[in-house]
Amino acid sequence: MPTINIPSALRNYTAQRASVHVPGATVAEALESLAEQYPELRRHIFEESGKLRNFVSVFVGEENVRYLKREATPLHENDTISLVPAVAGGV
Amino acid sequence: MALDRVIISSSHLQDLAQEAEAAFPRECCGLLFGKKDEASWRFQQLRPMRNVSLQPERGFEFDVREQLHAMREADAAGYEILGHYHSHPNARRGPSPTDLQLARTRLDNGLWVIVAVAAGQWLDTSVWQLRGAPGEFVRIPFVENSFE
Repeated sequence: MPTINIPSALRNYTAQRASVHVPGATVAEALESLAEQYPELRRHIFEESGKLRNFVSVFVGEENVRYLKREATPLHENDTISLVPAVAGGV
Repeated sequence: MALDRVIISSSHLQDLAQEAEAAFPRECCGLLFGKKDEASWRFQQLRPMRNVSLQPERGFEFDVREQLHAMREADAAGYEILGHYHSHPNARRGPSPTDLQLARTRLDNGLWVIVAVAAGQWLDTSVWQLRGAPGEFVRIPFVENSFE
C-alpha cells in the first residue's frame, strides 16, 4: 500500500501521524483515501471543486507529479507520496 | 489551548538579522525547525532557503524540491517545521498585505517570522501567526534565550 508523508503543518489533522498508508492505484485515489480517513485535511489538499489545490505540490518519490501525469500518475505498492505546501510572501 | 510564546536563542536572532542584511536589497527566506510543547514554540534550527521569486526584491518563494529535502532533514533530525521566515527590505515591520493574502489563500497558519531591514541594516524582528477565519495575523511574543 502506498505511503503518504504528511508535512508538519498538517499533522494536527492526522493525530500527529507523520506518514499514513492508504489504498490507491493513482495519486488522486490515494489522496482521496487520505481525505476520507482524515476529513479535516480535505480543504488543505483539495479545492471545493475537488481539484487538487494549486499551491500543494505532490511528489512520488523524487518526481513532481506536475511533470508526470499529475493526479492520474499511477502508484506502485511501495511508492511514497510527499505533500509540499508552497510557501511565499512579499513586501 | 493556543500556544502563546516563542523561545528563540540570541544566536538565532543574530543569524536572522545577518542573513536579512546580507540578502538586501533582496528578501531572504527560510524554514524554522524546532519543537512545541503545551505553551510554546522553541526554535532550534534555522534552515535558509533559496528565494526563487521572480522579483526577489519584492517577495519570496521557496523552490518546492528544496523544500521537500528540507522537510526530510527536519524529520530526520526529530524536528517539526514550525513555520518560516523572510525579510522585508522596505523596512515594513510585520506582515504585508501580500503576506496576509497568501497566508489566507494557502491556509498557512504556521509561524511567520518577519525581519525588517532599512537601508541594509536590521531594524526589527517579529513573529506572527494567522488565526481565525478567514484569518488575521496575531503577533506572538518571543523570549530570547541566551543559553541555547
